[in-house]
Amino acid sequence: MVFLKLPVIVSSCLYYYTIELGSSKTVLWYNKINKSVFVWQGNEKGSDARMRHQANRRRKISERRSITLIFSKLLEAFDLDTFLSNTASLLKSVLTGIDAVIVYLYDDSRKQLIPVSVSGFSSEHVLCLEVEAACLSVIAQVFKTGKPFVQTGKGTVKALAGCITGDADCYSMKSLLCVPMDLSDGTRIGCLLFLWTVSDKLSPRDLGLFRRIAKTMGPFAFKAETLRQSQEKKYSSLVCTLSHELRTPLTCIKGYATTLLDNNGEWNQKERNEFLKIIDAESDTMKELIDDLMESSMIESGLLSVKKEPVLLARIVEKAVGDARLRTAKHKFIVSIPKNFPVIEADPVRTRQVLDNLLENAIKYSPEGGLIVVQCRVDNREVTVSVADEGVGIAPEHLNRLFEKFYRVKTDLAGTGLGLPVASEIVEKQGGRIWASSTPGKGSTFCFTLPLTGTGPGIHTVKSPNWGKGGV
Amino acid sequence: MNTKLVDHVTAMLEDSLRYTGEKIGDTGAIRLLKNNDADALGYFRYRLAMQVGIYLGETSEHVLEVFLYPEMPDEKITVTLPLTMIVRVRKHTAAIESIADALQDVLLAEYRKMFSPQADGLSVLLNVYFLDEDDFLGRKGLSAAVGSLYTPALRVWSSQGCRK
Repeated sequence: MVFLKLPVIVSSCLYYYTIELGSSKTVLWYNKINKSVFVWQGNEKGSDARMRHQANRRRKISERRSITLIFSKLLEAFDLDTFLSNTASLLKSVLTGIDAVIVYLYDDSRKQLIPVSVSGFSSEHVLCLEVEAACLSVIAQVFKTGKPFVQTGKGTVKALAGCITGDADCYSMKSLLCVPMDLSDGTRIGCLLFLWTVSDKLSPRDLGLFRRIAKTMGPFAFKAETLRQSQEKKYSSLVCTLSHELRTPLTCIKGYATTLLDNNGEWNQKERNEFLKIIDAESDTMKELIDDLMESSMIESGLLSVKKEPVLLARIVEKAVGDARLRTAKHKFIVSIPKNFPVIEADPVRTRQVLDNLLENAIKYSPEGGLIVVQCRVDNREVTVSVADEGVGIAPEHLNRLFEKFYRVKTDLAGTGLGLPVASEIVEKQGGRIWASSTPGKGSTFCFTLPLTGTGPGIHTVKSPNWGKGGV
Repeated sequence: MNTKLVDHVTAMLEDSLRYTGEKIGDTGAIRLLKNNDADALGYFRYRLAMQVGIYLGETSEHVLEVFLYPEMPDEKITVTLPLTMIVRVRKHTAAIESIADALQDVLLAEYRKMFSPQADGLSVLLNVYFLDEDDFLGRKGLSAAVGSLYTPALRVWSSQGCRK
């Protein structure tokens, strides 16, 4: 006679079945995390004690695995979006049996707990929670006191009152566990809320696991929150920059257009042409700004594409430098391109865009004029193009952040802070790298590489002198 | 200035070769150089250093003087011996550093062709040291060699007047 008992749940992700056949007992352990089955057989008395011991051991291992899995996944691509959108769903998927997870972070300026990541409910139904109010929700109480809160049975729905509204799923919740999230220095930064639709899933042993998860998650949450705040700052400063940058050319265009209209016939042809040239130049400035913004949004949505084709980089460099020469009389350009510079696979338009950006920066940040040296080099695997100037230079603390969006070293000069991030994206999309080196007051060097595809020497070949033949 | 660096370098080497030929009174200067003839190499290296100095000096307004650091007495002069140059600058900029790098690259490529197979494996031809006014006044590093009694560096270009 075979008895297959109901599974015994050790933790939310580990349980076992017992099969009894006569005097022998077989235990099938099932781990829901890695979907593995472990078979244990025993027919001696006292095996229950051994089984309990085994169960404890396996529970601990399983808990450790859960935590490791959660944080290794978070670490794989840690950024704000991953944290905010994936954390709750990740917790819900790894810790099997949980029906809803909400990650709350404390916003000091609003004195509220903000639900930053929600799984199991629609996020618009989850409310922000006051922390300083007279009547606090259970979650706010957990945040204030630092004591975990467990509720099972009918009281669960009541405990959720004021936290979730307008979501029918809320009424089916039978168990609730809320743990505070602290940093290692004891600073409380938020709470984790776990919900179950059954009342018997939550065992006292689980509390330890969830507290450990909250403790480990603290620094991640803190980092995400800091990132969010810095992004908010960046965006508000961007709005200011953009309004200023767009208004300046627009004012100019409007001014000259109005002048032309108001004084119809009074201006001679030469003056009119002068005004129209200014309007044309300022329109170009506006177009560039809008182009930068569009490029930036294309990067954001992953739509920036590069169309690789065999190109003579040397020609692109010469053309870009030639055009840059026309824009400035103060600067002297030196171009160094080795003979037999190879043909490479690259997007000619995008690569030119990168070069234009680097040359424009070199001109812009060396207002006194000076040398701008453009050097092309070839090695076995890639070609390197560098643009060096004698400008103001960049302090070391800014160097690493140059390729961040909207980051600007000198805010008094025109620009959106999008040129270098766009250049960086273009170069990386083509399999290259981009970097900068600089000493304040002594100029900067920007370099980028593009991979060599082994297409051999191009047509950019100059006949070399016939050394060694004949005497001098 | 629209001439390519590679054209400058070709002209520098041609000029140095012509100068060597004139000095030693031999039409086969290249043969002597390839055979590591000390006299021919001395003229050739001096003239090449001077050409490099002229190029650096005329390219950057920050360059004040250019010196060629002499070979050590026990050093055997060969065609693959790099030139050590001291460049006194008003300001040591990224651009002037980049010019020296570019010169090195282009010069190496041409030099390898010129002195093949001896120079095939050559990876450094110019050791350029930029010294600003602080270095000079403090006689730091190679700036001490400029006024040295024993191994004085040879001035090959000066903003006050080139010794062409």
